[in-house]
Amino acid sequence: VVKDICWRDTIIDISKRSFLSLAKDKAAFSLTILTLIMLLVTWESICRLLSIPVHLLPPPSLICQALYKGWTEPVLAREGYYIHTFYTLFEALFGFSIGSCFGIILGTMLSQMPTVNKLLYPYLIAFQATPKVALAPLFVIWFGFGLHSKVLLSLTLCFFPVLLNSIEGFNSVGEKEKELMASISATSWQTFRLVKVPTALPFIFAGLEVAIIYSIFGAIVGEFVSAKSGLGFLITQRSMTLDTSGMFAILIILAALASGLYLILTYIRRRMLFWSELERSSEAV
Amino acid sequence: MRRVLFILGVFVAMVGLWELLVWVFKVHVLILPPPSKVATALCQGFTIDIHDWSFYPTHIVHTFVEGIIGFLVGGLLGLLIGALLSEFPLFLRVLYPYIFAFQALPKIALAPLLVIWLGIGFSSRLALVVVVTFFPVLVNSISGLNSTKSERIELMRSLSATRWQTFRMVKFPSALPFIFVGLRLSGLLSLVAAVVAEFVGGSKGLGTLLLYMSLTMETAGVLSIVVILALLSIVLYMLITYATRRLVFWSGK
Repeated sequence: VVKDICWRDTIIDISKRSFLSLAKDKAAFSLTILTLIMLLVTWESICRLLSIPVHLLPPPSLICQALYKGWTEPVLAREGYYIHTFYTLFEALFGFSIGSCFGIILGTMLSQMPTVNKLLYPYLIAFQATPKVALAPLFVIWFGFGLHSKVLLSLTLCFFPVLLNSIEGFNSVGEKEKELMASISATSWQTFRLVKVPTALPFIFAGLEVAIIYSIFGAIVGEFVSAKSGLGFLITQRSMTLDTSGMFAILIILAALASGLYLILTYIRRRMLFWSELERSSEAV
Repeated sequence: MRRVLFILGVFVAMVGLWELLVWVFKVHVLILPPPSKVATALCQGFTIDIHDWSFYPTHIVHTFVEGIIGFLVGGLLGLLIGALLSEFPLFLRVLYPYIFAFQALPKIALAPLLVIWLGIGFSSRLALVVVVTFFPVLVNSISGLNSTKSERIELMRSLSATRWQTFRMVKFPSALPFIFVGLRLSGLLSLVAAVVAEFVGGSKGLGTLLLYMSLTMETAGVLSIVVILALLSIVLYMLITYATRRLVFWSGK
């Protein structure tokens, strides 16, 4: 089990209990809402009673205002959120799709060539361990301040977890299954399609779940280093003008984006892998 | 042994190819310097005057200390709160949606906010590392502690063990493999977080140096720092893997 979750890193093993089943947990859910309301009320009243400076800790009402205002701007206005959200989302998703496609393809190829895999594996681990965000300034030198450098950063971040998980997944095919396929004289393509791919898919999905979070991470870091648009850019710009409520608003948008993307991916996984034992065992948790 | 030689061979071949391609296609040094130039930059960074701003060791120590302290604090907090949450399941059930949202949020986006709160000094960068390293340990501790086999807990109950005894003797040991997975991820993330925090606001550290060198177009310098960071994190990764192997030698693998 440990091996299996090792690249599942950022996210959530407790999410094995599906989000939906938690929403069904009525008692806890109502308590969740209640704590939220209480938290917001205390926060608001503390801010007002102690008259904490707005640039240090804005009360929730101001944050909501900032959140609302950004969405009511015209779609193409640079003060609004539409453009920036679109940029960040585009960078993240573009990087994610290309990076994970490459990861899956290369991982599949490598796992079919055990010798090459053995030679390259230490490097892959080393690259996975390297803080790839350090490449951000380099990508700016190579590809300029535009979209390319951010797409490339999130691509690089997405690539390795998917690659390693694909390799891991294809290598975890059991000997018995292979022998069975050999004994019914299946072609290697049939073995690949009917046994290897289904075994690897849960691993690949675990990699994708990590990658989707990394993709947004990459886009944001890329925008920190240099950008003209995007939520990461907006947040640094607002920090210069001490617009703290605006920053909180962006953090909320980012959290919503990231968890939304993650939930979509888990939904797809559940639909595609309903037969998998991992999936079933996690239902039982 | 032969495998190690082969792997080293691959390394030498790749570096050689890089050097060769750069020379053959006459790629400009600013775009892609050959490995020899990167090595020169690396040596230079270590041999220049100690009082020079870009003397590498000061920056390395700065980033490393930030990463390590943040990692220790974040990991410990994650472990403690994870243990509390798994001992009191109601809290977990109530707080779960928040943990989920926080975990999905790219936490480095908090960097500018932390700068406003704590200034551009050491503390804001440390805080970012703590926040980033906290979650993987938290989540893995919770899932580890919750995955204790129920027979074992029942056994402890039938021996009328106290809650603390059950935790100490059964739940915690069986959660350790998970916790170490979390620690390994956090360890790697700690350096990432330190570098990003230095991107956002810092006057010292490898992240600052990296940004500075990219602005002055010293591509070889940038690559040399990337190499240092890679080595640092590989060392960290190996240390944690070694510790895992020594401390949870009894676990499945």
